[in-house]
Amino acid sequence: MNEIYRKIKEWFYRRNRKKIYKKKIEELNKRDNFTYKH
Amino acid sequence: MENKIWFFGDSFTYGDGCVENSPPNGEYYKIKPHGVLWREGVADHFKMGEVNRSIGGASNDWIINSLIDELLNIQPNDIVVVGITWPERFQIIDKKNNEHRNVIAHHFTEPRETSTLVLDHKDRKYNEELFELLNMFFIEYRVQHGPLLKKYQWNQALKILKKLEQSNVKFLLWDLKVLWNYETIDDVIGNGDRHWSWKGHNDWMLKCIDLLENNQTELVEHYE
Repeated sequence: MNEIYRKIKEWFYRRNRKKIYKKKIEELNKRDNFTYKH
Repeated sequence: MENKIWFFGDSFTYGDGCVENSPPNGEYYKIKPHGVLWREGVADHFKMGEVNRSIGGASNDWIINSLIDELLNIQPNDIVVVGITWPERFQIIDKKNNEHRNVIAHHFTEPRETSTLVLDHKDRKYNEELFELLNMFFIEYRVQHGPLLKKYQWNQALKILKKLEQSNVKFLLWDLKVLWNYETIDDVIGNGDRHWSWKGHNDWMLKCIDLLENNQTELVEHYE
């Protein structure tokens, strides 16, 4: 797992995925109706 | 024996916002606790016993698996209504208690310490790594291939339902196309909840009855 995980993390940062994921998850979360005030 | 009408789907079938404790302390339900859920109204109209197999945050994996789980219990002249949800959601099995769980975007916004999605209870570091990898799988594969997955999931459900139809089971397979055609809780109290209000439930109930009575089996919008 460690080696695979390390390689995937490298790929993750090389491809600048952090910002993309955050934006996409926020968008989906809003669409899924999980952001409203209960 | 009374015939049954079966409902499979996500929060829109379950009735989130119009059901006590779903969500917990729901604002709309506190203000307006009286009304008829669309699935209850449809069951009443056809004078059938209602069987609810829906849950908020369901994935299509879970919805289709729930339908398969009930296949042997669905009888001739029953009705089956299946609501297909967003395609990127997927089902996993919780290792601790062997319960089926649905992975949705919300899980990736929760703080890890309080997350309800625990993949490995014994090894915290491994759990966190696995969680990050799932997040990648979710975005890079599930979201990326949403339209393709949607068509595949739709056809899977449709094949099962068409097989049931051969045993005189009427069905309706519907998807997210209809969601925004009806009044939402947000329209009424402005809290951002886009689940259906009581009026939304009523209007979709009437549409659903109309589709079933006119033997329309599919209501879909495949997006590209």
